[in-house]
Amino acid sequence: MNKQIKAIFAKEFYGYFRSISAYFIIGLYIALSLLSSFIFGNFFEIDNQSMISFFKYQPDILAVLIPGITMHLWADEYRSGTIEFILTQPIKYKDIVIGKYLAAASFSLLMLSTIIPQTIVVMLYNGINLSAVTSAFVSCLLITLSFCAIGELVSSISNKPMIAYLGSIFVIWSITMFAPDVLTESTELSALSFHENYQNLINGKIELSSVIYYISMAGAGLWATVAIISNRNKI
Amino acid sequence: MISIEKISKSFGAVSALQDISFKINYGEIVALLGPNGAGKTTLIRLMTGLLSPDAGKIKYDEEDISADRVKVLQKIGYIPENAPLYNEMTPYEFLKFTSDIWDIKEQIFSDRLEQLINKLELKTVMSRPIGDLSKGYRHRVAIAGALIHGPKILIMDEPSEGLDPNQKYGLRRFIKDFSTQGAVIISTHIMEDVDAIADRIVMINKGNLVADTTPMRLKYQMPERDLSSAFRRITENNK
Repeated sequence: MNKQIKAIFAKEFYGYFRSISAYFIIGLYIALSLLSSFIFGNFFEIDNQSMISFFKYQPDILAVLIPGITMHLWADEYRSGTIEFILTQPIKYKDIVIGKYLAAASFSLLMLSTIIPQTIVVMLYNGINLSAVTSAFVSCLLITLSFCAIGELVSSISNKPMIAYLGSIFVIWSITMFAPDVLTESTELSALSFHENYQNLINGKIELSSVIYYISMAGAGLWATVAIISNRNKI
Repeated sequence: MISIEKISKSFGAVSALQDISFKINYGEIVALLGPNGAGKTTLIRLMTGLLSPDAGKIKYDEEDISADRVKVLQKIGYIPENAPLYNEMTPYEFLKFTSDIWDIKEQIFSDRLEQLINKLELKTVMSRPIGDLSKGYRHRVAIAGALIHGPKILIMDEPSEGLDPNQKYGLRRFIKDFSTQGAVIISTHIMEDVDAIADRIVMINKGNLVADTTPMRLKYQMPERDLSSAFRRITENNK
């Protein structure tokens, strides 16, 4: 990582902790994860060695919370006018995009790390299938990386953080909710289904195709963000 | 030398600049004049690489900003209109962030920081959030940010907008000092600023270059012998 990316990363990452919103998002993530696991996931009624009740709702929770983490990335720069400052520094557009992305992804991973104590509690209470839980955790990690890139992309085309938030939720839900019904009807296209790939991973099957699927989604989001920032014609 | 060569820029059907050409030498303070909507800010944004021209070139020491934006920006310090800054940061954090982006070595940063704090009288506000500072201090922090890398060219968009007379005086003195080591381009419609500091006036109206002269010449072309009248006559004649 070059020094310029590090500078952007540090500004954005530590920026999350300048307000209460960072703690609020992490608290909300823990609350929603526990609620979905114990209330909607019927934690006590099913065999939970793979923590299926916990991981089942993670895409939905992340789809709501990650846009809250990414919405400020570019929208705030446009809203406050600092876009003129940042884009007139001698730094490549792609380095700014990557620095911001790494900050959002790191904060999201910090949020995800709160899964670990819950996993330990379940392990002590019930015992766990370590490979299945690891696979599911990896899947959450991959989803997070792809959602962060989509969130940054939507933030780069809006000058209002709230619009960026709602827009990101819309785009993410379009991918996760709408696509599966269409795609899973065709065996060939099912490889493009978000849920098909997620199901593979939470069932303990870490397949290269699924990893490539999520990494490609993140890469496409970042590429599109760089293209938007580089080709904007009007500020 | 800065060379603006046959620059044109449109936004959809609206033509913001048409075939603008002029040159700026080091040591000059050039006032970019024009009424609101004349195309001054568009030209400034083209000069800082924020926009790309539809036609023409902007060169700094023969290097085209469109060809290598990152390299050319190293020569420029830019202060946008209203000096937008990160309100949640302190001036120190902002200047450190800027210096990290410029990849300035720690010792050089410390030396420059000390110089800028003394020159711009920022000592008392260095640890306060920028969002809590007065407009005058915010301007000074923005100037410090634009100078932390030691640029040869300073570009300022409406620099004295909203400043009180003392702050304006301080800003003018600062611009005069800076011009001894580089070039300054200020976009403004405040004649008082132009009269006080500019060596040259480049006037734009409706996207066209309508005057490129010195303040003295412009004044003495008018019977009233003042810049405001000259500005009014030229821009009204071009309606």
